[in-house]
Amino acid sequence: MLRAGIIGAGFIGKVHARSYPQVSGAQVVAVADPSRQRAARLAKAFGADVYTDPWQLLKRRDLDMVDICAPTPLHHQYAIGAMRAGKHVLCEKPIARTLAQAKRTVEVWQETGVQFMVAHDLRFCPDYRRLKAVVDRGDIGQPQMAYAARLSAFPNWSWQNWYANEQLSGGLLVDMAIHDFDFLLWLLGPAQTVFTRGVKAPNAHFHYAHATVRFQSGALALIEASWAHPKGYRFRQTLEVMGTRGVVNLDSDSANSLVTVTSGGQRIEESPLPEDDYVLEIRHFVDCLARHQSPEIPPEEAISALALALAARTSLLKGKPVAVPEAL
Amino acid sequence: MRVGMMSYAHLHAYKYSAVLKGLEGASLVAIADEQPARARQAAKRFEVEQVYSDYQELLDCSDIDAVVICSPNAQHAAQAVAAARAGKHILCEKPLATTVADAQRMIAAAQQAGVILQTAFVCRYDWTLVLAREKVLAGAIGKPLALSGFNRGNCPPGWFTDPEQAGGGAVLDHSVHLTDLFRWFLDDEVEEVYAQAGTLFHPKLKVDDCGLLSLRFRSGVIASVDPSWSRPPSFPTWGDFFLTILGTKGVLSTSDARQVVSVYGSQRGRQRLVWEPWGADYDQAMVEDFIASICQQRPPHASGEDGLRALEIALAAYQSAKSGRPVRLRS
Repeated sequence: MLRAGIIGAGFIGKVHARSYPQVSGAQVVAVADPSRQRAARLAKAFGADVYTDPWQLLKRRDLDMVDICAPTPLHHQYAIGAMRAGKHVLCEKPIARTLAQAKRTVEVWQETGVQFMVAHDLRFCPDYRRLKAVVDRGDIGQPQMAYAARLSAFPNWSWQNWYANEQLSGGLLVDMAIHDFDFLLWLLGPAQTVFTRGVKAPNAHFHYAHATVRFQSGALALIEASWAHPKGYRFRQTLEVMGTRGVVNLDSDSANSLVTVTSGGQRIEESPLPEDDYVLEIRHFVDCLARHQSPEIPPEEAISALALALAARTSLLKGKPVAVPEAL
Repeated sequence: MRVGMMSYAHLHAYKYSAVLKGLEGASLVAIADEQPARARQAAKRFEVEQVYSDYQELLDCSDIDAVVICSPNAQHAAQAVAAARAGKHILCEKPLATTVADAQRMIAAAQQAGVILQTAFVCRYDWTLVLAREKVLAGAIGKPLALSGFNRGNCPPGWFTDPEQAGGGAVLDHSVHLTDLFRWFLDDEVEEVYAQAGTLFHPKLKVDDCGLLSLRFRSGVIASVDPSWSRPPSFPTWGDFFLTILGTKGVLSTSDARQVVSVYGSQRGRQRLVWEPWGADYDQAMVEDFIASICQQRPPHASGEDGLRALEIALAAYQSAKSGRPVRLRS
């Protein structure tokens, strides 16, 4: 049984924590968060130890892996710290806030020889996975275009609202659209140029953006990201890939297999899968540790996703198309 | 109202003809087509006696009030200018023309002759889109922030993929409907266009078969368009049409894929899913409105100027795709 420590007991920390009971090879033994109360709330279910200082957690010698769920700008410090302490690292996306931080993290990973995976959970979503398999099987011929959308009301749950602080989060392109950037890179190969337009919330962050990406293969993609949808809007993610011989698409709006309508007209839609993408992602990482195999998402690919997201952000800020840098 | 059809090169000509046959207060009296066989066939189908292979002969008929132009795009200008000079009102298939100069000539000729020049922006008559616009104007979603439009189709046959006759490919063919709707919804003009275009699905074509447009309006509203011919032959219908408008207080989406019946059958021995639409017939509404605007001597709902504006956006998209840079439109 691998012993895991979670750093960050906020929104995504909670999501990760509740997945561990379904991962047979690992148990959560430590949780760190600047808020003792929040850390304690997560730790309670596992009887795990509580830390307000992540560095104290990293000092524990009995930890095999660290699961980093802290805000983006802290990823690289904790990832590097954990690697230096000989712990395997599962780190929330994006890999880091800047390319320099990301590259440094990968350098340390290579020096230390621990296992390292960035949690691009979309790669473990059953619908996205099936779509990828269909494309890889050649059913739609050569994939030439894609449209990916990630639409949501503003996520108002982040710690001190750090999502809205673009210096910290990188904004919706680096925090949210990076899911689609990563998946499209996985599908279509390296990106060449990106052009982005966006709309700002009054005197605040960008809350809607569309990006057009040309890939080195010549393929084109449109990526739409919104935090500007109305309150109460059900989060929606869609992906369509168009090939020389066909089209394949998925849409979270039509993904719920159980619909209940109660007296009064309330409609409840559910997708009662036994395990979600987070369980599959953590289980994959834990299985890789147990079997000494490399995880499915190489850290270099997480850097490529960040490079594309940051290039998209630069384009948004400058109003010009931007060449996507070679990641490493 | 006596109407003549100018060319059946565009398949919409058959729908417009059928509508004209059924309209009270209008009749389809003459057909001109440079392909005599096609002209004869249409004349037989729509029971029309006057058949010409020379467009000018139709325009010389003094008893014809109006014409519908469905020739290949590059021929629109010459035919429309000749029709205007002959005093005929004009309903012209989109895109209005293939160059800005041609579109301007058409507009000027119509103005000079005092005839109506209407661009066949049929989406303006789609009940779903009409209601969507009313709701947006009534503030149902607050102030519009961003629009996205999709009009992806099969690869069309024949002259549509001939650069000389079509003047462009998918970007020109399909972007104009959406950009016209954007302008109509927002009552605003596009300020800057960025676009990518390519021939990615049918590599033998001499025109683009796909593209992506990113637009910014003067008000700061932004919009994206996917006009690609990316639907495979196995797609359940000719193509799709989606429009989404995100506002400060809500979001509104339209889809043409909902008002269909799904047929799991075999067509010509080929088994596939087919979507048969049951929504309202907006071709009928458009042709009726064309006739009504002539009778009432009022401007049409989509003018030649509207056709020109949409054309300008598409041509700017090609310019941007070529240069790799955003293109600013004239103000």
